[in-house]
Amino acid sequence: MVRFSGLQKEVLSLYRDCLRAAFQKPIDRRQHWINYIHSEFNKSRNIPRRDFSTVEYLIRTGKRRYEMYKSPDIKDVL
Amino acid sequence: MFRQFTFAARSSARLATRAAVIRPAVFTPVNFMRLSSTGSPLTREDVIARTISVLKTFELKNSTDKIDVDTQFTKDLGMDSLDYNDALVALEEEFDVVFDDKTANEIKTVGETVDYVLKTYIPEQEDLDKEVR
Repeated sequence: MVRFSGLQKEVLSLYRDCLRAAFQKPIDRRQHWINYIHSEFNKSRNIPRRDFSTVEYLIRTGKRRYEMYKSPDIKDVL
Repeated sequence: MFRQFTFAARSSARLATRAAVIRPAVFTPVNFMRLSSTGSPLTREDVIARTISVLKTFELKNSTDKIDVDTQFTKDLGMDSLDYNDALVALEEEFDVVFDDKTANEIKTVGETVDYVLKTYIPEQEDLDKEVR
């Protein structure tokens, strides 16, 4: 069984939070959000798991963006 | 012009790497008649059937037609950790449950997912009210 490191768990948790937030968006825009989340996470897919400082930085910025975008006032993303 | 060319080349290379990644097709919640709305509890068979239909909305790399309770997300379906977390969140929507972090990180097979849904599924409010009264 694959055991995740603490940092990997944080990434996965953020990913789930983002997707959950996407499901709270209006149904006709939901796919935009999901595509956006996929593309943002895919950009960093090839970062080595040992590159702690980069991953930590990305988690920090990701969390900030998640907090900002999850607001119900923000309805769509392009 | 050369600049444009390199940009195009780069973006096509990027597209190629992305294409290798499996991703869900459109997220369409499965419109099964919810048994819970008739007051009857969710059966294991029902959860399995609905879970499998949700999983089939994803483009699976190893598209083995048969998905059963022993199917492993990573080994049998060729999903990576992000992909199967996609599936878990889609299942959360389907069954109105929430996978806690520990479970979500440890789940491996379809059967474990089904068991977790059965364990945490809360019947509709009506049923709860009746029980309370």
